[in-house]
Parts: sequence; structure tokens; C-alpha cells
Amino acid sequence: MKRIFSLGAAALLLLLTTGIETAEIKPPPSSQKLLALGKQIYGRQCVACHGPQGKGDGEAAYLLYPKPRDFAAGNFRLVSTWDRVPTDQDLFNTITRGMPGSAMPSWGHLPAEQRWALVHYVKSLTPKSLAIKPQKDPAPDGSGGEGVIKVPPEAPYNEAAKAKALELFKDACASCHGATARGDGAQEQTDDEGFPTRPRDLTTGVFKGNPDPAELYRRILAGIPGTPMPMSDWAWGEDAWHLVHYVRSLSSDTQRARVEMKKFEITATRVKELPDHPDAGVWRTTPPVNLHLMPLWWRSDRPEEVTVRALHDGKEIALLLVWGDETNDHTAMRPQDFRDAVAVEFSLTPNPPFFAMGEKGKPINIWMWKSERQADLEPAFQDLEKVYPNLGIDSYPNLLKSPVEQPSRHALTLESNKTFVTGWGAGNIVSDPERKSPTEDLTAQGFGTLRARPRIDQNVDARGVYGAASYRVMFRRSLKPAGKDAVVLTPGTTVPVAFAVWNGSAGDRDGKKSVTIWQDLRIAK
Amino acid sequence: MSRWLVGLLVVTLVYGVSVFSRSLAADATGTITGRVVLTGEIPQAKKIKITKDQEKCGQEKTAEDLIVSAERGIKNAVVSVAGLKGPLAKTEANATIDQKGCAFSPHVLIAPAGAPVDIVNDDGILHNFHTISAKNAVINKAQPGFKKKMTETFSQAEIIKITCDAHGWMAAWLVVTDHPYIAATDATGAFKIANVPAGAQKIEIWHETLGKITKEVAVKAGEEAKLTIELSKK
Repeated sequence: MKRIFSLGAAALLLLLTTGIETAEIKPPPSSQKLLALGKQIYGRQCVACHGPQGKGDGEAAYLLYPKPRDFAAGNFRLVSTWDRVPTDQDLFNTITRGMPGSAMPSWGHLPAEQRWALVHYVKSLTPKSLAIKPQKDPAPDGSGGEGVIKVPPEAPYNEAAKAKALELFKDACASCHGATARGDGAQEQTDDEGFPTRPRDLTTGVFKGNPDPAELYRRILAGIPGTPMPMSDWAWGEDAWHLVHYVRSLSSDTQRARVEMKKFEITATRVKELPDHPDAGVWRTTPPVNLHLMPLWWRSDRPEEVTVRALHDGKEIALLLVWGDETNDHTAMRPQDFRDAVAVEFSLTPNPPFFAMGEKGKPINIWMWKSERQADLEPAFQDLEKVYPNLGIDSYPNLLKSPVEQPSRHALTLESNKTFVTGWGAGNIVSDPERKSPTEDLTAQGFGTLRARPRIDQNVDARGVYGAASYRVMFRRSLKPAGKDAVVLTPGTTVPVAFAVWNGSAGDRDGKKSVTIWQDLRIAK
Repeated sequence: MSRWLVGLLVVTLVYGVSVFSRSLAADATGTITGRVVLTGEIPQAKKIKITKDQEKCGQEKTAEDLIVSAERGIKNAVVSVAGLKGPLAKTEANATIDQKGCAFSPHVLIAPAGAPVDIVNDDGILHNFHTISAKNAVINKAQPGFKKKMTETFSQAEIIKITCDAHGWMAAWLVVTDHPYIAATDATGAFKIANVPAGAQKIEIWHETLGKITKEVAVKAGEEAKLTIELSKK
């Protein structure tokens, strides 16, 4: 008995140690092999924004605010040292968690080895030395610290500590973050590169760096290099702990978790019959998954989540997307008007290409629902006449009718000869007033390559309704597609899938949107 | 053996001559004085409306980026002799930059490389001391009202801009120098650099908005080289 017990204990111990080992992989030192791996991953996942030489000038950089980091300059934002130089662990943590409040997503789904490879590769892009000095505690007044900031034992947060925290916040933080911590200090600010920036609204839970207490402690002390957020070495000791507790009390764990880009699994549950309306009861039979969104051009008023449900019946799949939007923007006629929209992106391979628009030679399939296409179907086709009455005075000859019957005003009707209406005549799905679906079935192989799949292969149906300040949009398509460059959905498999949401009245269009990273869509057997 | 001795003698002689000539040169110094003046129209001083912390900062400030006297003298230009190294004068007190009434004082501070600089906050409200530098590490330190004094050291010679992100109009320049042949102009545009080694010297004149020019000047031992340096708007 005793022997069995000790055996069991040994097994448990073994299990525990291996568990710890996988959770905290020891940082591997830089090597030629790791640098080569880093270069490969960088070329795949980072180059689109950070650029081939890491200068922050990638193809997509112009779409992003805040701007992608210039690795060649070697200045980093998230640091845990008195010298404001990032440790390898700092870089690893940034890659793993991403930077909420910017378009830097989390890469936590990549294996740890790949992330360490990226750390070493990114460091190799700057001639600057990122050596870390040996740890040296500062003098009692906070001056003279070197190396990694040693976090002292956590101070208790009681009434007295809270009073002290409020006083410190008023004296040292409110000037920029505002008296109510909503980022409303009156000074316009720029970062060290001259781009406009503003103090964080601390009530939203958006933290560029990790908001965990010890990490936040170091951030308050070290500040955020390159931004107006200064070092506060004076807070060394208990003061910084009081501020950590106060700042964390301004937002909730839920808020802080929601801004991190994460990978979730959506299950397409098998049912007998698929719904034909977003409000059908059968949607309740499949679990909703809340996916986290980030705007590429960051703004605080933004859709934070899109809730996704999926069903299939062995022949077709149905997806339901629900997200909040205060306004129903369903015309895009005037140059200043933009529509609300939503899109689902599918990888055609189990190992997906870069999450934004795919890669050359690795196409992705996109189903895009647009609110004005929905309005075209019900109540009626939204033509220019709607916003500019009596605009159309062109005459489009109708060859089916006699010359005396030729219309002269408001002439473009469904009876018109479409040969004379360029886009329509050419079969462009965007110009087709007779289209049956509010969805476009598209494909892309990188930025600027988005195109409609052949009209004959377009078979994604959708239906969207707006109400109670939110959209409910459902997509339906056969599991097997028509033609090439479209996703094949097979029961029992998992497909990488990503989402994008556009808010028209916020000026969203094209690359100005809120996106998720790749998610897993598991299609139940 | 004797050849060795001769060699030693020659070395000693050469050394002696060089020491002698150096001490002669040290004695043979002159002074450069003069004024830095603006050519062209005298600009109106710009006014800055204060929108924050008015109880400490006031309602309005005069921009300090170009101050020109009625006699065209440019304040806060920096004149330095280029290419000279020299021992830095030891002073009793640290070079000090004060934040008072939401302005840095002085607007241009010359500080010896490697010597401590005191950063004083007389306002009792938050300022942050944010440097824009290339050779020295960038500093951005919060200095809440209760932190009256901080001390920083700048080891590399360069001209560093100082800003305060809490008060966007605040700006100052820290001129870190590794030689003593440097001076900033006063309100009349006048400057004086003493103990400059005699000979043909090249001087650099820098102003934050008017840029940098260089000039040749002949310094004669025991004499004062008087200059009028003209800067113009580009």
C-alpha cells in the first residue's frame, strides 16, 4: 500500500514537473538556427506591418495607428528595466500578448520556440545594444536604479493606502490621465516620432503592456519609452503599489481580458434543419463564442466583440454573427457615406497564411455582407436617385421598345438594356441591380488583390437584420463550394477562420476596420 | 650602448621641447567677445495662450524660441570654439535648470559633460523632464510637485532639447559641452569666451530656430577678438 502510494506520488511529482516545464519554457539563447527560424516566421507574420528591414514601413503600415514599431531604431515601448531597455522576456511577452490599444495582435498561439526565435531575430534588426545591466536597486528616493526593476513585496491596499493612492494620482497622474482617469488631461501630445497620441482612458481596461500587478508596477516605474508616459522612479517602494491597486480598480478583469486578441474555437453543431432567419430559435442549440476585435486604426468608440454561432446539416453551413453598432448605415452613395459591413475570412489550408488578406500563392476566401446590399433587396434597390433625386437625366436606349417609347428621364430601370450600363453589362456583381444575395463571395492573395469569385460560382446567401443597436447577420453556403479558391468545409475538420466588422458612420471602409485574428471553426461530424 | 643613451637623450629633449611649447601655448590665450545679431526684420514675439494649470502657469506666455532685442541682439544663441578639448571648470554648485511658472529657466543651459545637473520643480505641480537626444540616453522622468529636485548626468557632448509633455509649450535646450570655450548670448546678444588658445580658430554659432553657422576668427595672445555675427531667418 505504502509502495503504491509512493509510486503514485512519484508519478504526480513527474506530472507536476513536466507541467511546469511546458508552462515556462526556458528562454533559449540566440543561435544561427533560431535566427533562421525567426527570419522565416518574421517574413510570414510580421513583414506586412513592420517591413522587410523592420523599419516599421510594411505594406500595411499606412493603415495602422498607432504605427508599427521601427525595430531598426531599436526603441521599444514595453520595458521592465531602470535603463528602459527591453529584456528578452519583455519582447517575448509583447509578442505573446500583443499590444491592446494598437493593431499588434497576440501571437500566443505560435509555439514558444517560434516566439523566442522572433525575439532574437527582432533584436538582430537593430545595431543598438540591448544589453541589460546587472540588477541594482535605486537609492530610497528612486534614483540610480539599474537593470531589471525588482518588484518589492506587494503592499496591502486598505483605506489608508487608497487615500494615499488618490493623492498620488492627483499629484502625478491626473495632469495627463485626467482627474477622473478618463484620459482627459487638457494637453495635446505627440510621441517621440511626432505622431499624435493621447493618454489612456484608464477605465476602459486597455493596457498596452500586461496589466498584471507586478508588470504594471514596473510600467509605472519605467514609464513607456518613446511616449509622453514618463518614468516615475520616485514611486519606488510602496507608492507604486498603491497606484497599481488604484489603476487596476478602475477597470475589471473582464474588460482587460476582452481587449487581448485571442484564439477561440467555434463549433458548427450538426442539426437536422438549418435556420433561414437570424432570429430563428434553432440558433440556441449551438454555443455562442465572443470573439475579440481590434480596430486597425485604433479608436476608443469601437465594436469590442463579435458573437459567432455556427450550424450545419451535412449539406450546408450557417453562421450567425452578432455585434453592436449604434447606427444603421445602409447607404454608400455620397462620397462621404460608408456602409456597415461584416466579413468572414477562411483559410483554404489547415496552416493558414498571414491573417490579413492571405499571401501570394496562398489564397483566402472571404464572404462579405454589406448593409446597403441588404437594403437593396428589401425594401428596394438603392440607387443614386435616393440621395440625389432627379439626378439621372441620361437616356439609356431600350432596344426592345420602339423609338417613340424611349424614356428620357429616370431612365435606368431593370428593363434597360444592360449592355449600355458598363458595370452591369460586364457582369460586375457590385453593379448588378438584380443580385439575389447581400453577400459577395471574394478571394484574395495579399493586400490589394481582393476580387470577386466568378459570378457563376457565387453561392453564399445571407440575411442581415438591424435592431436594438446591433446587427444579426447570418450566412449560408453549401459545405462544398462551386469553383476554385473557395473554402471546402468537411464535417469532422477544423478550418481557420477570421472576422472583420466595419462601422460606416465611423468612416470604416476597406482596410479601416476592426478584425479578429485566426480562429478555429470546428465542423462537428 | 652609447647609441641607446643618445636615443634616450633625444627622447628627453623632444619631450622637453613639447612640454615647453605646450605651456607657452597655454599662456598665449586671447578672448573672443562680440554680439550675435539678426539681419532683416525684427520679428514680433509670439504669444502662447495657456490652456492648463493657469493658476500656476498664468494666462499667456511669450515664446522663447527667438528673442531679439531692439538693437537686433539675439538672446540664447550659443557660441563655441570648434575642435578644442579642454579641462572643464569646476564649479561649487551644479548647473541648474528650474521649472517655474511652467517655463524652464534658463531657456538655454550650458552644462559640462559628466557633471550633475539639478532639475528643480518650483511649481508644486507635475512636470515631466523629457529629453530629445541622440548620444545620451533619452530621459523622460515625472517630477510631481512634491519632488522638488532631481539630479541627472549627461556624459556625451550634444545639444539636447527638453520638453514637458504635461505642458506642451515648455521647451528648453541643454548644451552639454566637453570643453570650456563656449558661451550663450545674453538679452543684448553679447557673449564672451575667455582663455581661447591663440591662433586661427573656427567658431560655431547655434540658435534653436536660426540654425548653425561657422566662422573663422584669429585669436591673438592677450588680445580681444571682437566679432559681430549675423544670423538670418532661412
